[in-house]
Amino acid sequence: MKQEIEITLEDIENEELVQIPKRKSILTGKYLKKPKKSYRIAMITDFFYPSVGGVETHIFQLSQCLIKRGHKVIVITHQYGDRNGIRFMTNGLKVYYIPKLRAPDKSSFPTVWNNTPILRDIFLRERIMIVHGHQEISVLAHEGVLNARELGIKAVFTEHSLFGFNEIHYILVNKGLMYSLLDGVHLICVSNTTKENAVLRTALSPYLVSVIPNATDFSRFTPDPTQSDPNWITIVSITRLMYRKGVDLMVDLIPIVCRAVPNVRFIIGGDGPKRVFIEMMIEKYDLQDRVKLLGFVKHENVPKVLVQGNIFLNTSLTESFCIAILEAVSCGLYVVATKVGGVPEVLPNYMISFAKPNPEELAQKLIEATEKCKDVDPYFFHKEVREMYDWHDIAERTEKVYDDMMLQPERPLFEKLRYHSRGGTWGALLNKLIFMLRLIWLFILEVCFPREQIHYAVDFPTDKFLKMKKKKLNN
Amino acid sequence: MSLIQTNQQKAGTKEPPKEKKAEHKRKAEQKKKPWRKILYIQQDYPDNHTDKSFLEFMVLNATARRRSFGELSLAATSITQELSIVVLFIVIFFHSYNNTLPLVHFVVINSILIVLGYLMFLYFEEDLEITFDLIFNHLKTFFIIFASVFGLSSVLRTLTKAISNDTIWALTTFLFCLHLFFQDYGYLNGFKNRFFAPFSLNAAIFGSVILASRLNSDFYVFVFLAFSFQVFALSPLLRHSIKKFSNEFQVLLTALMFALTFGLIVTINTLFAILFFFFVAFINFGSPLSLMAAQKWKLFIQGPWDCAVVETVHK
Repeated sequence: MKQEIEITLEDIENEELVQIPKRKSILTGKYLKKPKKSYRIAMITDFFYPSVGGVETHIFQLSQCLIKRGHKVIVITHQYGDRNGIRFMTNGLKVYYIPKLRAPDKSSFPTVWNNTPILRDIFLRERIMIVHGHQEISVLAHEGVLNARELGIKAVFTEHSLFGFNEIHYILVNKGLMYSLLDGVHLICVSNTTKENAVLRTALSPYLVSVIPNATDFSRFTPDPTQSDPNWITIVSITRLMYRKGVDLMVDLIPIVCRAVPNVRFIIGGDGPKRVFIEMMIEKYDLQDRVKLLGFVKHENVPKVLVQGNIFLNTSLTESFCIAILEAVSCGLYVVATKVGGVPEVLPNYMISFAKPNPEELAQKLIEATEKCKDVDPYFFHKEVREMYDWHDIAERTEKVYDDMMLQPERPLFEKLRYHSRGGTWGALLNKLIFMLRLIWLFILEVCFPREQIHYAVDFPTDKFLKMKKKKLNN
Repeated sequence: MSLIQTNQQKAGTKEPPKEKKAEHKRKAEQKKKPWRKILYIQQDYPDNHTDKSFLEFMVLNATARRRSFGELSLAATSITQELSIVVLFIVIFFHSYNNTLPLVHFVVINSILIVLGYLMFLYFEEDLEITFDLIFNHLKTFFIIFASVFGLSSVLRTLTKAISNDTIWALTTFLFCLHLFFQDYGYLNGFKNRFFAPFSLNAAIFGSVILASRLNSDFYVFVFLAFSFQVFALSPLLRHSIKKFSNEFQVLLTALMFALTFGLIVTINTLFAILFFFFVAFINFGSPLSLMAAQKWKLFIQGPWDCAVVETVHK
């Protein structure tokens, strides 16, 4: 008898009935299997240590996992004040701080010719096979990817944020990304919404775009039920206090929730231009004992603040993949967030509840959450989210993208010219002209600093170092 | 794309041949679960999988309106009217300056036009209670302005005595261009109900005052300034009520104004008349056509990636 196993979409939505299949690689640890081929990868971006943020952590963690899998990774970024030259980080991660003028928003100024010599030199002496650029607003990443493609090195780009279409700065940024991705560059997006947005902005084929999410260091965010006060239901929110993060919504909803539920209190961490409105709201409604403003919270202290809470509130107006809610769930908090961008894809229904970005609906969901959060087991949440997102899994998936890239043939120059035929008659002509001029510049560099005379850099002995580390740990 | 897919399919375990058949049968019967737009579980699809639900929430051109040629031409008639009026004004000045204007005829025609225009305004205007009070207020304002212009006409005649002709011609051109650019065409087209174009009105009055100061006699100055007041301050109100009342009347009025202006320009210079004709044809028929040709490039994309808009923004 033929038995057809039919699982409809409705069954899957009702997740209590169906067992959620977790990522096999994380559960079985099969990711520790050695990859087929080890690559030499250059991560290139403007955003790296010593500046601290989501993108910086992403690059660092990804590089560490790739090193552990046996690849060789270097990072190229611009100089930070006195910090220039070559530095080594954990496990032999080589970081090049190249001289480049820094722009106000931590990115750098765009150039056409200046960085080609030094980038070419770095790519050739380290025998780079794949260049991986990060973050669209980083000019150095674009330059790196462009130079790599002209030198015949494979390139991958990771997109971390969402952008609009209407305003002039968005149009410029979109055209810039479209130009960088012309020559068969694979794009990695952190969520499905980011993929849709990127495909629309850059007119890229969706099969050249992979979706690989972010993760965070879950060992730092462990639940601690002893820290939260049992007399209160604490709602925590740690965010930069600016328009984009929905502070206006917070200012409107806090009085509603405080009035409706007598034993609820708020802890708000972070600083920004809109902080004064929260203070005004506290004074107006007399909520000094119900709302606590912590000011700027250092990254090391975030877990300490999170474990004091029962619910995490995220009122962002736009978010491609919110790492903050992962950190909150890892600490055992129930999440209430606005349904924007890539947030609906990140967590299952029993960990998060969504609301439209208006204060009344958010307040309603928060009041319902005060009931739900009593049933939450923080250790269960921590274990669950640990099995959903893992840096080693992300490294494995990124490696699959690299495998795919390396199998693609390198097209001859004549065919590459075809890629530059976007932009109408005159735009295409201009693009092709610029491409030709850049090739002439590369030719001049090849004549002045030939490939054969470039000494290969000595690799950091990663294998021996890791073995030595293991021995020391075992002793 | 298929390369990433085959990598995953290859990952399998070795099984004895007997169980392989059963496994195959089971797998063939088991349907592939539909792809879901989530990131927290491992799905049976490669990372670059593009589902048929890709971009299903994208909305294109939700707020864009496709306009028709007739609608655009009708809206452009108010610009043609304004242009005709300004050119007519300049032509009248030209004749006054050269003393070729039959003054008595001009005054009589103007007076008839003012009375007729006022009666038409009272007839066509909506939401107007025609009471004695209203008419009395109108007439009071009218007489005050005309009396002041009459009184000041001798002063205004010698206002720009020290300034050369060239400055006056250049300044007037510039001012009337400003008047054309900043006129409240929304009001003239009946889209708005309040006439608010102080900048354009000021520019027109300024232009007409310095033009009037070039004329020869006090009476000429008074007649000229009364005409300018009638044309720049009073006629927009009438044209607004005509447009709101009936579109056919608007077209008729525009045609009449154009014909009158064209006829008067011919008395000065034929080349200028031909240029005027082509310019009006471009504004009234050419620019609607070019806007309609550009409409097909309009692309306004909205979707779940948009930044949410908050109703109450604290400042």
